[in-house]
Amino acid sequence: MRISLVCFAIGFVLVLLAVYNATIVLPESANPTLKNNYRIIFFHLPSAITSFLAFTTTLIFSILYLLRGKAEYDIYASTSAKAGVFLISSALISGSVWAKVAWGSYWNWDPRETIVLILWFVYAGYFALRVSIEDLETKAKNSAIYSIFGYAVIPLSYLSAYIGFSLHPTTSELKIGVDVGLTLGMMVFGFILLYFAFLTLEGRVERIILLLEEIKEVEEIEEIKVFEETKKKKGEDGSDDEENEK
Amino acid sequence: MDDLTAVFVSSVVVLVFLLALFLTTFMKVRDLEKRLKNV
Repeated sequence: MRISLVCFAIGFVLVLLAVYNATIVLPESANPTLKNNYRIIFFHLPSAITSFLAFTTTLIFSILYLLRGKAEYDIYASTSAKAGVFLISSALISGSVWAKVAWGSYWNWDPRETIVLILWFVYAGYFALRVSIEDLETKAKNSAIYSIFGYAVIPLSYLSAYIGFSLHPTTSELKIGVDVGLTLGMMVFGFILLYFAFLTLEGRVERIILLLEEIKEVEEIEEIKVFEETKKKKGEDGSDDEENEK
Repeated sequence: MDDLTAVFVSSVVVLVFLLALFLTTFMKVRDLEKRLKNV
């Protein structure tokens, strides 16, 4: 609880400062086609990096669940995937705005764009799978196996920018100055802290809800047992009374 | 208001929304923990 609060506070201040730097302090780009539009990178890159981190966390917790079978690993895996889907959606949207300015169209079927879209569908499928299974153990097991296979799209999406005809710049092609790099670093670090705060807090909520449901189920089973026992006793007493009357 | 100030203001609005969401979830956790102690 305290960790998530501290992470959120630091992350919030960092992102706020980075937003101020990105929109007010830093000058316009020297590139005539980009001008102020280059500032999209301050939202696009941190979203993409943090989403990859979130999906990697999902992979780690999924493997841990399959090895140890603890319900909390499944909770953290799905919570992290939730954050990942939100972040990759924001990277896709900001990326297509960038594409409109830099490449002339919102969607160009570029290898990076296409593979990230596939990635989005893979993790949307992860949640569809979770919703479709009622039994908690089967749900956790199946979604853990699914997310391990689904993770294969992450390295593919990273490598897609290196394909010859890709329009998307690779990390080595990016030439970033000190000021831009510093703001970008603040934003990435802030995003990671906000993600970590969400993961710990939402994970805690889900764990408590699961615990309360388990307690409720145990209480209901005990109530049914007590009800059946009293019914049995009443039945026995009733037959004794009938015998006495005879 | 120029475009950049508009982007800055909307980013701050999103951040404030995020703060409200976080605080709400934080209060929810505290409430759930109290319920768990009472069970």
